[in-house]
Amino acid sequence: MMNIIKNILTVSIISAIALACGPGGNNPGVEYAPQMYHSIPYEPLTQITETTDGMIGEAYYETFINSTPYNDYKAASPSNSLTPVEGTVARQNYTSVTNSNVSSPGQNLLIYNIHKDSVAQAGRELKNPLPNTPDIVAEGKQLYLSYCSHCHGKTGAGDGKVGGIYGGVPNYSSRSVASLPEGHIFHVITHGIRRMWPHKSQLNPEERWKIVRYVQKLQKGEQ
Amino acid sequence: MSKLFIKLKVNLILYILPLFLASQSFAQEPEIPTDAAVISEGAKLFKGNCAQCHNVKTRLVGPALQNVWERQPVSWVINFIKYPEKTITSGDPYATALYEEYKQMMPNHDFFSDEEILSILAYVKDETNKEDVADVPTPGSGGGGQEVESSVNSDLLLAIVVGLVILLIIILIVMVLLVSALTRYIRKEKELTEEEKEFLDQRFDVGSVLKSKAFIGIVTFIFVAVVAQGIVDGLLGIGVQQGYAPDQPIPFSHKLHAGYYEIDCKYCHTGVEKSKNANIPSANICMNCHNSIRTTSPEMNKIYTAIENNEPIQWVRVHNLPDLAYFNHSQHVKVGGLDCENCHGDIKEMEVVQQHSLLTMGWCIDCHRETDVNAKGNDYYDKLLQLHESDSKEPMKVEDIGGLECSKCHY
Repeated sequence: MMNIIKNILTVSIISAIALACGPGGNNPGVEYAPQMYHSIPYEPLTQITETTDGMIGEAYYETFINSTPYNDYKAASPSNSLTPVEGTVARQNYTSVTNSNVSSPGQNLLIYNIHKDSVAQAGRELKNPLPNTPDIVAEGKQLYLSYCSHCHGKTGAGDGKVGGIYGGVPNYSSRSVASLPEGHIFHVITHGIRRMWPHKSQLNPEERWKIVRYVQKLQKGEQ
Repeated sequence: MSKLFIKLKVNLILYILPLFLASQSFAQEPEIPTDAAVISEGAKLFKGNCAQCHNVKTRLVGPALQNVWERQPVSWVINFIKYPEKTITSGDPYATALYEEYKQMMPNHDFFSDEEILSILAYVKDETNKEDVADVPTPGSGGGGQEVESSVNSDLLLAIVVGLVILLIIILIVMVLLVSALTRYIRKEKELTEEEKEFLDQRFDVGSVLKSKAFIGIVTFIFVAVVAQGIVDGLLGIGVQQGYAPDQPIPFSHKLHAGYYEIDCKYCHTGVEKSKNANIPSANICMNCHNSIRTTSPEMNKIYTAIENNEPIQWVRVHNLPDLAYFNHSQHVKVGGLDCENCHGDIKEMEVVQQHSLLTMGWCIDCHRETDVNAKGNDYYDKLLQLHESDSKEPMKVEDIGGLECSKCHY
């Protein structure tokens, strides 16, 4: 009888352990081959939390240390993203204007370096390098719905749900906004204006110009 | 010298003329109309051009507009609406004080005619005189409605179940009482044969049932089956993190942001159409809205601290594919045209994000077997489609173009 009870107990404990491996809450569950889950090579958006000295040799370590010698894991803010070379032109400051679609002879071709406060100058000088085709407008609409509509509203009426509590979102078809030129719109997406903050880190110049095409349609009250 | 004199003269004219004009216009201050047609015209103009920054009774981006004509003469108001920047920079004390208080430069509205501005003022006056019928809804209150409803529903369900259980127990007790009463009655009233007596005296023998072979057999079978199932499930669950929902350093709610406020996933996860990684937003994207929304919350302070110290926010990774498998977001979202919800589940309802899908190889393969390739408008697939259609009438699935090959994902 004791034997039977012992056997039952052993089996229950084993099954309890097996069942307890399941993930949930803060427990990710049991990982098979953990070094495969916590990559030693660079992975985007990983942070090195172990800053004590040490390399992973042949041995398996409890804590995973990025062993790459080029990785400055001892830095003040350890991260695996490297700073670009000095003098690099950020992609966000690039106009995608080429010789064929330059608007004025003096316009800078590749680097768009109008000061963020000179929105009127941007309105005069910047011209959309993308043609006004239905395809471009459709792509612009998709981007607009993803990146703008929660404040500016699906039809540009300034009635997005976030805009409602953020405040100060204009109606594109109101007379003060409807007449603004394309360069102005591009510059505002890039650097923001009044209450709006810059969106250059989320949208590259080409995407911004596509959105401009769609916004121009909304300015006219079309959809 | 003469130039200076001219400048002085111009200045004098510039400064004195408006004073003169102002005193002139003060004498014939424009009246705010009360005509219903004008008011409705003004309402339209107000909604299209002013409502984004101004409310009649509450402060928004700019001041509340009720009784604005009592604070300054109407002619001043008209001039300010047309040329705010000029009025402020000219040193008008009231305009400067406004700018100091609100720190916002109102854009010019010089496209309005005086009549139009008067009609807007007429609308504002009409609204001012109305009683407070309904308060402006407070931000964020709308999200709670559904939650309350569903919790009421589950409460009701629980009450019903508890009620049913209590009812069953009462019925059981009544039955037992009935049986014992009937037994007593039969014994008292009737002449019983031996057989019947035996039947009445029969007791439910628990011991003999427990010792019976059939019972032991059944119990053993159930026990072994349950344990075996548990062990197999446990072993199969190794490396599967479905349901993992870690606490994050900032309790960011997808339910609020993506669900209630309808912010598209791509607004923050900017990389999802461009790279292997969907990208976790950096703090500047939070600040696009939170520069003026909920700026005093302690959770928001964590973002400010991170920005000030130039440190990343240490979000905890939820979905983690092992290195042995390659996965690319842009291929699935941009090229394949899949929705985020396809793999990540109903993120818009999640207060804390949890892993929705298995992310096992079988799960990948299943989808690759069933999903048609999104070849429409994509020249890359033209030849493949042609080849596929030459010997098959079925639509082209991912597996038909090598979606099951080992080295597609394992290399």
